[in-house]
Amino acid sequence: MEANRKDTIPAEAPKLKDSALRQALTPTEPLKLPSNFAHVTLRRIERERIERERREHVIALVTVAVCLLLGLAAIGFFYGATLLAAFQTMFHQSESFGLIPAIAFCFLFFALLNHFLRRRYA
Amino acid sequence: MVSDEQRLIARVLDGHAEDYGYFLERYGQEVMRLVSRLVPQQQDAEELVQDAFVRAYDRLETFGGRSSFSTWICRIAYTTAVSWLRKQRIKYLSIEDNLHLTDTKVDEALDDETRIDELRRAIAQLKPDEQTLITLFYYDNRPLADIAYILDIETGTIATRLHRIRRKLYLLMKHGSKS
Repeated sequence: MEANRKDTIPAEAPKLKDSALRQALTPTEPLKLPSNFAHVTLRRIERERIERERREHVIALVTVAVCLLLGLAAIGFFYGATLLAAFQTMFHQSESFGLIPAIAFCFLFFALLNHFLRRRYA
Repeated sequence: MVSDEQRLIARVLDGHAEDYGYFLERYGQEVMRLVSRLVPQQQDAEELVQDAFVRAYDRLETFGGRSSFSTWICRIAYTTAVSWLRKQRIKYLSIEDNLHLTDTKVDEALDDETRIDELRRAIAQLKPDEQTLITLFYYDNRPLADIAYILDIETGTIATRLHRIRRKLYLLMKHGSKS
């Protein structure tokens, strides 16, 4: 049995087909990545992430500003005359006029509070 | 290993970007080998490998695990390198197929170890997709399904393409030895 098996084993293994092509494809001087490649790439990924976030933030701010302006323009266009008339009436009535500084102060107070809370907890 | 990689990918997607370093370390050299076949200049090849990994990071959520990460990143690197080469407007030599050429002649030429330098010159004149196909098949011994995925071609067409490339190599060798 053992003898038979030995007979079937060829004396020399057959050569791999396309051996020259395989050898030609082996790079003579393989290019290697520098040892800090992973570190440099991770830094670039982080840099691009921060840049993307900054861009998205700017886009969001511009969008909000444009919407706000468009909204104000629309209010002015459709209700401008009515609002102007109402303000004029309010200025002529001293009681109503007295409320304006209080309302402005409230707005200022809430804007400052919002700013403080955002800086403190955001 | 694959499930470990899937877990790592989930962590990276969860915000642990530093874990992506594992993929850079593990597959960087393999991707460099593929890219440097098409772009032999060290600095350009390095930049393209980095571009490929950054693109892969940006699209990591689209990696569904249908292929291995290695095959997936190789496909991204291949398309990155090919679009870079397209921008360089490199012209490739086109050569008419000789209908009288027998396969025996081609087989003999591609087996002749005394003509390796001629073969290297001929390989350098192949188009990027042809170079990548023979590298993945003959050098990397990749499965046909992986090759088809990386090159975005049908598995059934690989044998025909290889046959055509072998004939082209023979003709390029002949053309080179004449001039």
